[in-house]
Amino acid sequence: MGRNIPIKVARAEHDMTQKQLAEAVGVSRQTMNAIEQGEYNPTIRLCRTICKVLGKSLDELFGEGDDEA
Amino acid sequence: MKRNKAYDERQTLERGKAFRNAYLTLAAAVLVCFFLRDAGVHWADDFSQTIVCLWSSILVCTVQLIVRDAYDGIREGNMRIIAVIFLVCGVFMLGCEIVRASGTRFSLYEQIGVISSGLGTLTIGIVYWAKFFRDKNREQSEA
Repeated sequence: MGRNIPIKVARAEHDMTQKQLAEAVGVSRQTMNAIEQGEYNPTIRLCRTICKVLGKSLDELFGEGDDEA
Repeated sequence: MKRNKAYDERQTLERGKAFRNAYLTLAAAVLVCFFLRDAGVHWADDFSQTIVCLWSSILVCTVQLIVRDAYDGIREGNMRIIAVIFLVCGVFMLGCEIVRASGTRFSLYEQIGVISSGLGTLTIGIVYWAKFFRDKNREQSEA
C-alpha cells in the first residue's frame, strides 16, 4: 500500500494540518498520519467521514490507482 | 459520554496485535525454559527465569505499542517522564551489574534476571526517544 497523496492534496486545499483533520474526523493525529503514509487501511466508515470533511468522493480519495507505489 | 479521540479504530487494532504478540512471546519463553530444564540445562535460577520470561513479553508489547503509535492510556507528558525514568533505571541496573562483574561475587546464573530487567528498561527508553525524535524530524520536514 503506497502513500495516499489525494488526502494530502485535499487537506492542503482546505488549509488543514494533519491534527486539524484528525480532530474533525474524530481520530488521533497518529492515525491520520498512518493513513496518509499508507501504513493503515481505514474502515469504510472512517473513509466516508474523511470524504465528508474534505468534500470529496470515495473514488477521489481512496479510488484505485491513487496510491503512490 | 465524552469520546476519547486518541483511542480510535487503528489504536484498537494495534493494541490487539501488541497484546497478542506479548502473550505468544510469554508462552514461547515459558516453553523454552521448560524444554531447557527438561534437557538438563540450568542457565538461571527459578526467579531469574521468571523475570526473563516476563521481561521478554513486556518488551515485545511495549516496543510494539511505541513503534506502532498505539494508545497506551498515558498522557504524552507523563510518558516522557516515564521514558526518562526507564532510561535512568536501565543505565543504573546495568551499571551496577558491570561494577559487580568486576568484583569476585558475580554469577550470571543468579544475576541474569537483573541484567534482563536493565536491558529491558533501557531498550524501552531508547526506543521511545528514538521514535520521539524521528517523529519530530518527520513533522519538521513535512511542515
